[in-house]
Amino acid sequence: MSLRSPLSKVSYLGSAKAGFSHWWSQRVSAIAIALLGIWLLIEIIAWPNFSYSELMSWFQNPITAVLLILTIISVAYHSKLGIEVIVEDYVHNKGIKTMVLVSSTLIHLFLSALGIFSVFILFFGI
Amino acid sequence: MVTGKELEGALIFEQTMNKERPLSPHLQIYRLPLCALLSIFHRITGVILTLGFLVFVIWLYQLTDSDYPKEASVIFNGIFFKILLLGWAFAFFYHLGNGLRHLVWDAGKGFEKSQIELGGMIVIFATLILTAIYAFLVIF
Ligand code: HEM
Repeated sequence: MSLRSPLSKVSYLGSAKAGFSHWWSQRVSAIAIALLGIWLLIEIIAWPNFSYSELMSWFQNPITAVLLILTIISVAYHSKLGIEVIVEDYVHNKGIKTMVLVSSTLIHLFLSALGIFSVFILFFGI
Repeated sequence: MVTGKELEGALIFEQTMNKERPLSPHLQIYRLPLCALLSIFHRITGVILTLGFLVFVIWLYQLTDSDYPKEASVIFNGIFFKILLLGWAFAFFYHLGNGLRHLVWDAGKGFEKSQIELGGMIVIFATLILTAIYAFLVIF
């Protein structure tokens, strides 16, 4: 049984907008970060002296580079979705809300590009 | 016709109801139940982790700058970085634990009041224990 009225259906309103996919993506990215985050926390304590050269050789390991890139993508995605929910809860002015949401999306995109690019540079040691 | 009684009622309503009253729940007075506290804390740690992500990316970018003093790149050896790292780990462990609780709920399980309270307690203890272990490993 559907609780949505015929009017809302023809006008594409109500629960079948992007809600499900938003919710689902937040869960999938959460599982990815749960694994990647634990990996990263373990790696950090595995640098015995926190030295510069130690750090650089860590970045030059391909597994490190790949997992870092995956971490950046999944955290950025999960964080973008999460901030969206928070903004929608507290910002009610439509114009301001749209502005904040667009800015948040662009900032998250920029941060992921910057992060991934930095990992490449550190890997190739340019 | 408006009767005298209705007018009187409206007047009383004006005087008593139409004041600027705080809306319930009175957050300054009302003590939130554990469940509500844990819920808002999930949101707060989510925001803290987002800020942590921002710092992490800036740090990665800054490491690519070969002109940047090497000692400054390893600033995270200092106490300041360690405190930041532990703060981030604390937020992460809490958000992780409570996030897993969310996933259990999403599977349609664990909604009995006793299970909700037990789950909350487990998340609190797990966060404290994991943070303590991590602090030990980071410091020593
Ligand atoms: C650094 C990593 C992370 C960041 C930046 C982050 C950020 C956020 C933010 C901002 C929210 C929105 C909070 C809200 O709606 O109140 C959120 C929600 C959520 N997070 Fe995370 N999170 C991270 C890691 C994780 C992990 C490891 C899990 C593991 C299970 C997780 C599970 C969830 C879940 C299930 C929600 C949705 C909660 C709801 O529907 O109310 N997150 N996250």
